[in-house]
Order: sequence, then structure tokens, then C-alpha cells
Amino acid sequence: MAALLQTNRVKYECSCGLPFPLDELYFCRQCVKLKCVECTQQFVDNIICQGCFETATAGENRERVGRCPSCYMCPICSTVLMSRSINNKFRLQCTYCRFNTLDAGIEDQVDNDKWKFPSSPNAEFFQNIRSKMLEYAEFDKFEHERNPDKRRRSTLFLSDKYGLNSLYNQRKKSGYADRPEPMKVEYTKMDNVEELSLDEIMAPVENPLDIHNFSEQLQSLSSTKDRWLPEALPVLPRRTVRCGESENSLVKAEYNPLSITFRMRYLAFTYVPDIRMYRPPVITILTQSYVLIYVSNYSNGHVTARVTAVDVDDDSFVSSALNKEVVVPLPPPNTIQDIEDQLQLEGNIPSQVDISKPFYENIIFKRRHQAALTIPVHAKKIVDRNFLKLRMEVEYDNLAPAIPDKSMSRTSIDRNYSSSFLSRSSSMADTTIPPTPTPSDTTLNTSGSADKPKISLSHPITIVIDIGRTIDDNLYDCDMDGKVPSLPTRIPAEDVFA
Amino acid sequence: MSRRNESIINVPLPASPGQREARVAPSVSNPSTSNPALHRLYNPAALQTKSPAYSQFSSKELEVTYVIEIGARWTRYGLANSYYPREIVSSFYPHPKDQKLCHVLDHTLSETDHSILLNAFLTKYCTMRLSNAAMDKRIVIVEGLFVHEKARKRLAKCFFERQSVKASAIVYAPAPLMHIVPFGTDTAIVVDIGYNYVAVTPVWDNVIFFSACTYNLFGSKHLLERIRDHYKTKGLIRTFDGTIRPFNDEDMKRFDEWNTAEDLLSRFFFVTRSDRAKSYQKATTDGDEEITYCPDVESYFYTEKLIVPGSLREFTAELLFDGVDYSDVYSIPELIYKAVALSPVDIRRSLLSNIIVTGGAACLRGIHGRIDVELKYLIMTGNGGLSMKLMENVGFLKVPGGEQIERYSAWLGGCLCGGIIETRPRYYSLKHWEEGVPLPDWTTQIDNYRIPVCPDKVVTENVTKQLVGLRVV
Repeated sequence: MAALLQTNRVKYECSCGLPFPLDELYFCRQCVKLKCVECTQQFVDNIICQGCFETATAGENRERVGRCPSCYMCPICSTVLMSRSINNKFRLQCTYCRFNTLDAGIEDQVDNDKWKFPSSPNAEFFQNIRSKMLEYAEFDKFEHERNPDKRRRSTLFLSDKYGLNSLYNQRKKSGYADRPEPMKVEYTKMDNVEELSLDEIMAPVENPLDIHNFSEQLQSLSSTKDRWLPEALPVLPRRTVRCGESENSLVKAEYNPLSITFRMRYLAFTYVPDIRMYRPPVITILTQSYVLIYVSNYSNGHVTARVTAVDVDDDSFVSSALNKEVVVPLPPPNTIQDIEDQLQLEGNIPSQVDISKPFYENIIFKRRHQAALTIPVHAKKIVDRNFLKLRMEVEYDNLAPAIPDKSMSRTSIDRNYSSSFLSRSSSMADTTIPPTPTPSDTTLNTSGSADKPKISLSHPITIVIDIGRTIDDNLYDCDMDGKVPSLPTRIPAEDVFA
Repeated sequence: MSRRNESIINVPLPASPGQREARVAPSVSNPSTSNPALHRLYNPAALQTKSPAYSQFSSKELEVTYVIEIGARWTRYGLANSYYPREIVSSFYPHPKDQKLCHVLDHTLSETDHSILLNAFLTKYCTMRLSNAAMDKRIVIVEGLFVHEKARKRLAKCFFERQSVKASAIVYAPAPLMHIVPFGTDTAIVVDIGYNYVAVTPVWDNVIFFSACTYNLFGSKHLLERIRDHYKTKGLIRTFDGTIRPFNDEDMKRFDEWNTAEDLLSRFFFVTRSDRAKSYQKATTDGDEEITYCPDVESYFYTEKLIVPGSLREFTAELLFDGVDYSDVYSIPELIYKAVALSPVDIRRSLLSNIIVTGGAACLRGIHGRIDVELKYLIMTGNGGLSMKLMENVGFLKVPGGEQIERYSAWLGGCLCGGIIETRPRYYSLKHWEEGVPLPDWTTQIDNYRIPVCPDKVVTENVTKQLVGLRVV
């Protein structure tokens, strides 16, 4: 879905300076900062098979080489193979590409649990090498512990005049371990090493599709040209994500592998307004274009976003004529009201913006938790990719704790508050917030109440939007007067949600 | 055996019993353990044998689990108790800052940028794909002989300091040595056809003869560039209605995006006969001779078909066999000849009888036969000092089951060697990293080497200064 919505075109700068789309960022409530995969710590909580949801410990996982013992993967398309019963026997089949175990030359089996695929033809050979290495390692350890530094190297030659030579040799050998024999593993020499014959060189390639392509060769190393073998399904880790600074947990899943809920989930989109570009605009050098962006609030509280455009001294960044800050007040979302509006008004939902008021100069559409802004831009050069840089400051009014999960009890919410927000240093004393959430406000609220304290992010967020390539003015299909078509001042609701 | 040409590399493998004593420095009769330099001389690992860190490890923590080999083009990683790497992935990873493809061991990046890149790479291929297999475990890094010091330090820093990955120890395994382990031998001449260059390394009794290593500057990358240049200038596509049209810029973009050159090289290309190669050289340079090329192949390319001409299929690999007479670079047989000529006389027979060809281009059909023919011809006619009797000894190795392990033989060697539980401290632990001990490398043996002197020798001040200059005291 992220690829469809092109969320990678809008990137937020994390507190560590790296750009990421909003759906890949976390929010640390203690640091009040955005966190990404680079400035967080990833710990493996649980190891789960995606086919059968069986969990495994770290030790079991290592013994099984990181794969599930009962699930198998199609060697062609990497989907999970399903077991199918045919004539009281079982066969593994891929539902996507129709591969089955008969294609691999493996007959149907009576027992569905124990599939035996041919292992590596050199498994025994490699095992012999490994055991020989182990012998060498143990001998090496023994030799080392005998401390050869102090071992005297005697060149004394004792003649066996008194019959003591044999005793001396026995005494000398008693300190030695049995030396392992040299490696006698049979290495194979290639027979008949010859150049290609003329017939082989001139032979036509009848069906190029019969030859595995390069990615297939790299993907299934155990498969050969004549035989595709199913592979055991790799297991996946279920991770816990912790903030690198404060070591608070940001994401923690439930222990039950079948559960899709989280015990903790502090994702950035539940705290930071989501900016999304409506459509890539037509950017030219000579004429001014407008970038239409949507600012949406998915948090539980009232948010005031202050958006400004930033000029960058780089030809790939467009220059913006937006010289002032655009203040966008956004209440929290109300899904039930949205559905009722759709049903009652049959989609003809009016905007809540009064264009005549100067406050809303750049806001052309607003409805509850969403607002649309236009930003006039100008390309500097003809480039393949133009970028627009914005700075956004976020203020929260009456922000409730993040996770609206029903599984979270009231006491746990209060506990979270007391441990994180209220226990911070005095420098952030003005950012304490009351624990109880207020009802969502659907009417326009330009500013929070003076007596209720506000919380803001510790630093403004920098956002970079990829708005597309510059089009040459000569090639652009302007109207007869050479003017860019004007942007509509109001966009119908059905276009917003199209 | 003459020790003139021998350079001992820090070998993580235990030596075969017969040769162990020969490696001890013979010049010191009674080494004193009070002198740390002399003590280290008898400990080629250059690390203290009974350090406090070693005694703290339990047997479980010493078990190796994660083996990684970062090559110039491909990275292989996996767990030590398997015979195949989990995945072979590209060593070029998009940098999180600007999504530009950078090599994982690119030391020219700034320290911050490089650490961000390494963190992203290891988080994906160690933490996420293998469920954090390296955490508190010993890992094996199979590396080439000339990895830059900065890259090695940054990689070690990532493994030791990154909380998600934190390994307990690293074992560094040299790639030329690891290549020979899966073939069940301890003596071989390793011909590694890499991405940037071809390296021929003689290994005898698990000792790399560094002074006899030979290199040329043509690798798989240059084969791919030749294919790409052909399609850029003369590429043809058969459309869905049967007509043929030339390549355009969009096709070239797709060609690069989908790594089509690598795909074509692995599927349709081969190494031709030496007589046909000579005919081709004459045909292209003098224009006197006519040659019949092998048939063209049409491979699917998006919705159309890419025409792979027979001349390209057959003669692209000639880049590796052109030779000094034709170009200024040694061909593979000439490199092998030179490496054997630089090796001690006694071991030439055993080296020539165990030739291992590895690398991606080693999977090309006909490469072994071509090397065999040209090498024998060189031995017969060359003036490098090799006896003609050695022609009978030329032989190539393979694994008994017939599997093609050339793409990951070094990784597999690291797996077989490094995957065993051993307690000899041939590893670099977290404690050593915290204490600032330099990373173990064959160059540290040179840096730390001191000419041994009998402790009771009395020297004058002038002689002492000279000895200091000569790195004796």
C-alpha cells in the first residue's frame, strides 16, 4: 500500500538526521523526538514461522539453521507450499505458480509431517572435513596448553649403552597427545578436463527459459539445472524496538504469535501530522506552480501545525513564494462522524473553510482532521527530481497517551504518564499535560485554551517532498495566453477521497 | 624446503601435525617469557593466551553462529551449521541518507556515513533475516587479504558496539585459505576470478605464499562492461511483431536496472577453444580470417526479445585470456604460471596438481579446459623456469558430489573452519576491543616482530642504538 500511495515521496527528518517516510518512524515520548530504525535498538523478542506460527527459542532456531522444520518454500516464487491430499497421500503444492513436489522428482508421501528432501550431495564429505578440523583444533588446544614456550628442544642423542633410551623416549612421549592423522578426505580431481567441442559451441539454445536466470541461481543454491527442490521456510523474528537514548520500548508485540495487537506501539503517525502530496504538480521554470499537500492529524488530541517553506541553495530544491508560516489547527479524527456524513449527505460534504478570511489564505480545504494547503513553487533548473523543503512545528493541546488500544487499562495509561511525562526534568516542566483525554473537537479551534498547557515537539520537523521533474516551458502545454491553468479554490469531497 | 620465498600469514587453521614444529623460530634457544615481544613470537595470534577475557567465556558463548563474507560484488551470510549461505546479496546497499548505492566496505565515506550504512546493512542481514544470530556469539568474517584498515575497524566497531548485534568475538579468516577448505585439501593454487581483478594465490599446507601471489586488473566487472558497451552501441531488440530495432535510452535504463548483463553472462556465455580464440583475434585485428560464430540467442526482455549475438556469447570471456602479447595484462594461465614459478621448487608439483578456480566467472562453461590447454602450452614453451615434466601434473579440483560451490566456497570454508567450537584464542574478543588491542592482521606480525637476541648478551651503547634502529630491542 505504501508503494501505491507513494508515501516514500514525503520524507521526515528523524532526530538523528536521516530522512524516512512517516510510516517508518517511531516516536519516543520520553525524549519527545522522532526515532528511526537507525537510532533505535532492535531486539529479537520471539522467533515465529510465518507458515505455521510455531515459535522457537534462540537455541532451537540455531539448531534448525533459522528455518521451520515443517514448512517449505516454493523454489520458484518463494511462497509457502500447501499440503494437498491426493489418493491418501500428500503432495506439496504452490498455489501461485503451480509448482509441486512431483516436479522435483519427489513422490507423494503418506506422512505429511516428515518430508525428506535430498540433502546436499556433499553433506557427508563436508561433515568429514568438519570433524577433521575439530580434531586439529583439539590437538592445537592441547599443544598450546602444554606451553611450548618452556619446552626445551634438546638435541641430545643418547646412545642406548645402558638401555635407557627407550625409557627416555617413553617418558618424552607421555606428555604428547595422539596426533591426529593428516587429512585423508578424498578430494576429487576433475576427469577429462577438455575444452568445449565444436558441436557444443555451435549447438543452438532451444529454449532460453529452461536455463535458470541469475537471480534464481543465487536464490536456490541447492537446486540444480534439472531439479528444483523446495527449501525449508525461513523463520522471522518478532522484534522489540527501543529508543537508543532513553531505552524506552517503542514497539512491543503480544507474546501470542497469532495476535495482531501490540502491548506497546508508539509510531510517529499517531503523534505527528501526516503530510501527503495530492498529485505531482507540473513544475516549470518560468511559470509558478502550486504544490497541493494534505495535512492530517491522526493523534488523539488537538494539534496545531505550523508549516513554513524553507529555501535551499541547491538547484534541485524549488524556491517557494510562501514567505510566512501557515497555521493549521487540526482536531483529532472522528471516524463515526465521517461515516455518518457519507451516508446522510451522500458525499456532498461542505468544506469548513471560509476563503474570504485572510487566515485561510493558503488553506483551500479543511474538514475535521484534514486540511489541504497550497504552496506556490518555482523550479530553478530542469532536473529529473525536484524537492520541496518544509519545516513544521507541532503543538499538542490536551494530548492523550498514544495508544487507543482497548487492551490497555486505565491504570497502565496513568502509570505510563507518571513514569514518562511527569518525571522529566524541570526544564520541561511546562510540558506536563493532564492525563484525561477531552472529547474530539470537530469545530474549528484556532488556538488552545490559555489555561491548558501545551506540549510541543522538542524540535521542528524538516520535511522533504519529492515533487517530480521539471518540465521544459517550451514543451509544456500552456493555454493560449501562456498562463498556467489556475488551481481550483475548492476541491469536492469525492476528489479528496478518490 | 627453502624458506626464502615464504611469508607466513596469521593462519587461523591449526597446522597439520607433521609441519607444526618447523614453523617455530629456530634462532632462539631458550626464549624468556618475561620478554613480551619474545613471548608473542611464540604465539602467532599475537594475543595473550590466558587473558581474563578468555577465562570468562562459557562453552556456549564460544560457539560460532554467524559467518559473513563481504566481497567486492556479493555478500554471503548464513549460519555456521549449514552448507549453503542463507542468501547471496549485493554488497552495494542504498545509503539511508540519500538512497545512493554504496559499497558496504567503502572506506572513502566519512566515519559517520559509513557507520550508518553498516548499521543499516547488518540490521537487515543479521538482526532481521537471521533473528540476531550474532548477539553475544562469536562470528566469522571471511575477508580478502587487502581490505582497508578503516573498513575493518568500522565493521568491527559495528559488531561490538551496536546494541542490536553485539558480538562477543570475531574470528578473521583469510579468503584464499578458506577457498581450499571445502575441497578437502590443504595445498592448492587458488584462482579467484573476482569482480575487480583475478587473484592467483598458492597455498601450501595451509600457508599462504604471499610473495608468490599474482594479480591482474581484469575481473567480472570488465566482462559486464564489455557486454554493456556492446548493447549501448550495437544492441538489437526483436519486437513483438518480429521486426528488429536498435537499443534506445529507455532500453538501456531497463538493462542497467535489471542487471541484465549479469543474467546474460551467467546463462548464455561460455569460454571458447583456444584455436577459435586465435582465429577471432586475427579476424578482428588483421581482417584476414573469416570465422563462423556460434548461433545467436533471443532472451525475453520486458515485452520484447533481446538478441544476444553469437560473437558476444563466445568471445566476451577472452578478456581473461588475452595475454601479455595481445594486451598489457596477464591472462589467467600466465598468472598461474608466474605464481608457480615464484613458488619454491619442491612444492610446484603439488600446487599444479591442485588448481581451484573460484568466483562467479568460474561457472562459465569451458573455463577449466581452456586454462588446462593454455597452461600446458605455457609450460611447454615458456621461459619461466618450469620444467616440462610438470605438464603431466596439471589438475583441477572439484567437490565429489559435483555441486558448483564456486560462488560461495570461501564462505563455506569459513563455515567449516570457524564453525567448530575451539578454545584456542585465535579470536578477537569484545574485551580486546575495549582495551584497544589492534585488530589481528598479517601485518601486525610484521609490526610486532622483533629480531630475537639472546638475553644475556652484553652490548655497548652504540650497538644498542643500532639494534633499536634495526628493531631488535
